[in-house]
Amino acid sequence: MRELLYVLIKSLAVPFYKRHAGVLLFVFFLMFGIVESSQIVEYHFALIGGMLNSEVFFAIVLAVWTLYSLKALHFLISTIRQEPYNFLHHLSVLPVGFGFLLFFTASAFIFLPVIIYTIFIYSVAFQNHYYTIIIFIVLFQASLCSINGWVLTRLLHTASLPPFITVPSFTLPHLKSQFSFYIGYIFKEGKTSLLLSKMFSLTLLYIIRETLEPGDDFRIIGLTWVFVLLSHTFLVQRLKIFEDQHLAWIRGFPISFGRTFVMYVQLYGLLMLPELMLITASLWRDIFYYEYLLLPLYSGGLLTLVHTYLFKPDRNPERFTSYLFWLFMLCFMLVLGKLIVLVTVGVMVLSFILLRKRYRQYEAVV
Amino acid sequence: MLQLTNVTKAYGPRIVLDIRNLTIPQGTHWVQGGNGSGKTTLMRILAGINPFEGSVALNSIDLKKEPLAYRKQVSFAEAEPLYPGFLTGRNLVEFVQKIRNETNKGIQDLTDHFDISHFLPYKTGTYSSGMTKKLSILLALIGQTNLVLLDEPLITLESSFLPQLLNILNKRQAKGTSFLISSHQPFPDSFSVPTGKIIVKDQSAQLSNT
Repeated sequence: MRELLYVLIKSLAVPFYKRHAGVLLFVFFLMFGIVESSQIVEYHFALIGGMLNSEVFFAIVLAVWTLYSLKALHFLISTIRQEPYNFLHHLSVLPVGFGFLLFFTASAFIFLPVIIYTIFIYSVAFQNHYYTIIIFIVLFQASLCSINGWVLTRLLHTASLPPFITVPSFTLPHLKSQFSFYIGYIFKEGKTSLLLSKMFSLTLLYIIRETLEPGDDFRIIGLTWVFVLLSHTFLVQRLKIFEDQHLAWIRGFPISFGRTFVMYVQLYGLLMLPELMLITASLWRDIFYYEYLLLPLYSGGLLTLVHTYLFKPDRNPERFTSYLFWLFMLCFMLVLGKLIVLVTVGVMVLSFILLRKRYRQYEAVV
Repeated sequence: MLQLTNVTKAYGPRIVLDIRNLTIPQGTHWVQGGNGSGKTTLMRILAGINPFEGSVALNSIDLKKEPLAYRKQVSFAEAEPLYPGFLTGRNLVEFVQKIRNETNKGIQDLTDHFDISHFLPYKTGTYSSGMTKKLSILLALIGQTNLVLLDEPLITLESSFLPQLLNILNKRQAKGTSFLISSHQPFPDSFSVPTGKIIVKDQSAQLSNT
């Protein structure tokens, strides 16, 4: 059991943490880095107290855990389906129950940051005699890991996924331009990544929108937008892999650099359309039209900059997460300092310069 | 005329190509060389897909200095083409037609000659390797480019299609299009007399009259 679990954790859980280290570090910073150390305990007591006393807050926390679990499941499924992981199919000769236990434990390992934080929740709940909530949280988290364990065991034994876990795909008509190839890919092959990113960002934006009061600072939306964009960086990586594997031939066509740059900015700006539509209700109440118009440019520029990073020659893939962390940290601080216009112009100019420098010098390694 | 000057290509410390000076006159050339000799790398460099050191110019238009003008003159069919599986053949034909400014009649003629109209409405993910190969050659022949690069065009194609393909290439050659064709196979007799042969060997490439 120990040896098998070691291999599973090394092949599945460790790559998950490596791939999402930027996002996880960023969340960690927000949880423990923005409050002064002398107030950190009180801050978390207040946060947990709010969660235990408000049904809405509690439901939101459960929703975030579910999203995290779904994200992990999606990652595990796509990893197991890759050719280098074919060796995991040897596990299918083990008894089903044993296989389930292995995947359950691997899923729980991925859930570890949540489980560790939950220990603090238990202690606060215990002090306040909220025993039912403790039992509910234990069962809820165990169910999430069990579902993941069951889906992965089934995948290994039957090579199929349960219908409720598969997202129906559809092909867009009129795929005649380079831009539409990317959109087509997102809707066809990147649909689960898209769905998870959108679920996260739309939930977050909805909560913020509902708590906004007329006259509130635009920075609240600006800072939330940093998280919205961060949740889409996984999709940028997927698009780059798609581009390397299936669209390398386009580089031989007479398509100007300017057109290519505009295509990327358009693509990432339009990707934020659902989020923009969601906050349309806040127009003229909480935000002005010029601030609203800034958001797609800010999105297009920042995500294009992330895409441009992936064109870096001889890039060390391990450093991508730290790049993301520092880039989004910088954006967060600049937006906090009321410099969103500067951020927008900055990322746009920087992505243009870097893409111009790297695009023709890049060679896809498939 | 295609001019290569000090063209080098290396992957880390391994030098794959090192061509000091090579002038390829207009016409059709057969690019030959053993496995791993760098034929595909050379073709991808000439197509503007892979970066390299040095300079490549076609009819005095330098690939690095005038990337757009150069690419307007050159088209390329890969040895192992890979297209997004959710796109149909028609999607790809229309995409290239738009970029290369080809007329509907030109496209119709090509698809008729290639006899692929019946599978163009289907997704490329459902194509066999031969069908994908046919499509890639067709895409390379869309538009009026001066140089067409065909990397291993004869593999995976059904033998009954070869005379048709050579017929199309002969017609294009008569209109002034140059071809660089890489292949392990000998030159087919039915093809018009090639201008020459390019031997890729020992990281270099040179014209050969034999």
